[in-house]
Amino acid sequence: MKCPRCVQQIHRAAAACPHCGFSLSDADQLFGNEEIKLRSLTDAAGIFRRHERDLLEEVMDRIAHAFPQVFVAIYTGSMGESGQLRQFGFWLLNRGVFEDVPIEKPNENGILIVIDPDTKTAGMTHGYLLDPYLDEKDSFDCLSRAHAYWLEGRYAEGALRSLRALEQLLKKRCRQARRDPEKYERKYGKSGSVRDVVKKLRQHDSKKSSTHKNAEMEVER
Amino acid sequence: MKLWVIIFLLGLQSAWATPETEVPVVVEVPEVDSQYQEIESALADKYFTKKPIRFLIDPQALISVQQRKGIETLLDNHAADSTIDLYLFVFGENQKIPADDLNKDFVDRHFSQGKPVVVLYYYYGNPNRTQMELSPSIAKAVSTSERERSVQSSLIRAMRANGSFEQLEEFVMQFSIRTYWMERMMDEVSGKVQVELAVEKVAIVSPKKKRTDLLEMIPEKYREPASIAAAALGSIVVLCGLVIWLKSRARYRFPEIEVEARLGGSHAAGIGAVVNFASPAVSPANQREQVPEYLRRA
Repeated sequence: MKCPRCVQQIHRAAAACPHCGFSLSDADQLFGNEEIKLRSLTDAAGIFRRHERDLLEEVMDRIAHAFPQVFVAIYTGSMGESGQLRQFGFWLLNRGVFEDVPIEKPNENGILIVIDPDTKTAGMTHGYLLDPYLDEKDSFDCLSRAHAYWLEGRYAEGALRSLRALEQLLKKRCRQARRDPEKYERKYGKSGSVRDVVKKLRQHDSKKSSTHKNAEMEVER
Repeated sequence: MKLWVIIFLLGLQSAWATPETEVPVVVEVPEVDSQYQEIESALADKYFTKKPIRFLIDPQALISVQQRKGIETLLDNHAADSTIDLYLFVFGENQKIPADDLNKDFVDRHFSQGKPVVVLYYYYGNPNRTQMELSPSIAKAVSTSERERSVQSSLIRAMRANGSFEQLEEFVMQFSIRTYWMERMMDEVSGKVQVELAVEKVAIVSPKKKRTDLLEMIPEKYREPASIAAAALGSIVVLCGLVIWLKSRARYRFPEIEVEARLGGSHAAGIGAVVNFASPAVSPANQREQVPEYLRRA
């Protein structure tokens, strides 16, 4: 997990970045602290044609249909500086109210793709639901599928490629998570209470001692 | 009182009743054929007993030998060109064919089989009296109006000429032309029948034939394995279709793991990757390692 501002590794429960002190309040200062209403496909930069928007919405609907918990949103617009794209994605997914997304799908279930045609950058942000299942490499792979198209200004085609790659990736991750949910629970779940920690330590110790005893017995023999 | 009522009702009835229309009385005027003389039976036999050998039948020699040759050549040429033969029976201007001999069975008797035939009873010097009979195959195909048109147009042509022979010649020539339309009508009728038959044949016969053709293409010893392979292939295709259909209907649900909020974000802090597409020189591979802008090499 990285800080949206300094892109340094941060702890999974950090209230603010230990390196630069960034938090949502900093993003609020940049972009505003009020909720903003928008649709899941908001083309503020005006880079998509009508039929392209239809195509994108079709794919987004398909993903939403296949993954009943998840929704995908795309925002195009100018963020000013290229370094602010990460912060904007983080801020928008926390402050945005997606009008056309069902209420049973909160923002923590969303995946947001932000495209800035001015600074020629695009980023992907996801909510807490997908935090255990998607990492930086995954989102990078999805976005890099669009790179060749976006270089030529074919934004819709690139976005479609990205969405399709994302769909496949989500299916794969979902299957993996279904096979071994504990793996993700252990890695990314909330850290338990002090009692749980002590219990784990004891279990660890008892295992160690039993193996030690077994070894001693073998030596005696 | 009753009498008055009856009178009143009768008056009403007469007032409402539709006026009687005058029904035209058709008086059949017997044809004045006293001026026409029936040909003798011996002569009639010469005309109608045997099936004519030549196209011109003129036992009375009403046409001169030379003229006869001309007409015969004309009729022969017509027979060579046309599918309909033209028989010309020549009678005197005021002669009349006995009703027995003009019976329909003459044509039926001699021309019901073989090439279609038109028989013309031509009254030399009086073409208006010309009568025509058709063999059954033409009668089926050619409408009455077309028959009338043929005779009428031939008559018009004939009446333009002055001499009796010239009239005959013109009549025959025009009638020969008109038979072309009769041929067309016959062709249309027979063509329709053929097309209908062909369509029926295609509809009924072709599927079976195709199937047998396909089987025949395969050597006999390979037929059984081929049919097994085809069945297996078909079932694989169906199975694939079923799998695709099931996949399209599949729903994916992620196990919900409670993740601690960070950086003050209540919904998200999962910062993914950022890709720059400003220059083709900077490929995605070069951007894989996500670092802050100030750390990037120029």
